[in-house]
Amino acid sequence: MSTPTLLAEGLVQHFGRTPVLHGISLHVPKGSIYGFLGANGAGKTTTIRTLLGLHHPRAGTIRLFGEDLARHRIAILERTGTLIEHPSYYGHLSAVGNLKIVCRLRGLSPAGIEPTLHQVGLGDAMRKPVKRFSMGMKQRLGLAMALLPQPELLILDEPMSGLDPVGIAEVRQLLLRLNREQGVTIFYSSHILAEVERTATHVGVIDKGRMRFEGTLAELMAQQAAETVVRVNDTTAALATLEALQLTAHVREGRLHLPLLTDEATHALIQQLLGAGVQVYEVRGHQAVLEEQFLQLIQPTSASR
Amino acid sequence: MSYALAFARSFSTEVLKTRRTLAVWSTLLAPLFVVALTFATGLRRFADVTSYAGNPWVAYAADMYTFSTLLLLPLYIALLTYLLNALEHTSNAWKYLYVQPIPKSAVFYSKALYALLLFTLCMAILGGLTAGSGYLLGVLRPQVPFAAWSFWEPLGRITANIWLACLTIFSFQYVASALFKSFFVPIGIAVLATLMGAMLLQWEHADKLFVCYPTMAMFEIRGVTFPKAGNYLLYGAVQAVFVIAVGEYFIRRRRAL
Repeated sequence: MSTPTLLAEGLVQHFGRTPVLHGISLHVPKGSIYGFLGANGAGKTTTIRTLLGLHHPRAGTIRLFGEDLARHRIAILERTGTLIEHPSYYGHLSAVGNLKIVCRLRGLSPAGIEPTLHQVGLGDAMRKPVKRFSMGMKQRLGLAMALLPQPELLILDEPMSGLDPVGIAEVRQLLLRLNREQGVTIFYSSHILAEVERTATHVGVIDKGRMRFEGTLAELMAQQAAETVVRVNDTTAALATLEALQLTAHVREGRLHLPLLTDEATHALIQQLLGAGVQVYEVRGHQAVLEEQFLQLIQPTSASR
Repeated sequence: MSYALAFARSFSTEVLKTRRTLAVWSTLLAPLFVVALTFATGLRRFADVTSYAGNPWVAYAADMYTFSTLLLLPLYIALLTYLLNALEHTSNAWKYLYVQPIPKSAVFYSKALYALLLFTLCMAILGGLTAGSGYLLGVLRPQVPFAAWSFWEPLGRITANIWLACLTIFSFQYVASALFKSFFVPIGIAVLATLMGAMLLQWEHADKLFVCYPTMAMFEIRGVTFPKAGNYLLYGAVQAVFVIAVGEYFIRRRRAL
């Protein structure tokens, strides 16, 4: 198994006396798209800042490309493109001017500027002062600044923030293309669960500074097996019928939730319920979506109301 | 990548960032403003040949640098250092700079060097314009023998002394404006430094107090040397290096906003 591109172990971070990260660990495999999920204030941005050396952790180790961040920070940053929270830009300069600064800081050729701006959809506005850009355009510029050095690892904090649906779709395609065609490893935080579901190969869920889950998207989804959902007029009578059939079920939002039944078992269940005088309105198979999984991870009680 | 290369890269971005900004314009316009005002008053003052004695360049430079040292330079230094650091504060750019493959100290010192070069350029322009306007004054007031005296020694020495005397205030302002976003901090320091500089001149330890140095240098032009001045220019240079080094230490340890 190859060394993870990003490996963090037991990160502890405090703001003053307030602990904000409680020993979190991250394993980002090479070539993966890692969606880092968490509610506002969960610790996503603090984690990203710590991973980049902007905050020194109280405890824990961070290795990128197999190298210790504390010792090889500059060499690591040469191979990394970043977008942290709100994009940084010099408003009085054009998009080209802002990228020229990146070129000078990193010793890059300016030849890459125009293709990169076209890549993020700023080809028509590259000479316009950035202070006249919309929020979405500034976000695209931030992405261009991260992409310009053609990094092996992209660390992006809310890259879809401020983008319209078209922009979100474009950025999604861009990230997928970079990952599939150039093998760029992408670690990004997001609130948009549907986007993570569409792009990520791996997922980490953070809540109140603690990791609640880390693994592949498939592993996360498999945590909640598919189920059969039944809507009836009388859940108490239905539960008694199910008990007689030695089926376990629980009631959530007025519906019965059972482990996924075969077609034959579903047919038998409906017959038994009707025979017991229970009116059956709806029977369907259901696979949890990422949002339900996420909510269950960060709010364990919300799913069993 | 060597530190020198990282420093050079960071320095070159400072030049690019500040093109056509107020930081550069103020460096060009501030001395022009002082010289224009002093030249206008000099025209009247030097109509009377009894208003000077000896080298007229010294008298002219004294007029020029009194106003500059007392008011303009503290404000200019505050404005310059604020504008250079405000570029990063308002652009939300510190965090971006600190995740580039450049040592944090190179970011800090390259900007400080650029600010110092602009300040030096401002002083050089002030000296150059003083010489030019003095010659013009000599043409318009032929009774004043500007052409008979060399301006190099008095103007060079006076300009260098004022520059040296302002170095610690410059360092202080640079560090303050890197630490704080608000313009009121550097302006407050400028006002406080000017007031303290005037009030504490007679204090027995005035030679150790950097706020007094510009005023000491200004009076020195007029031949007034304070008994407690000591080797204040040397102290000033040492303090300036100390302040900038301590400032860098604090800023490196600070969380990038």
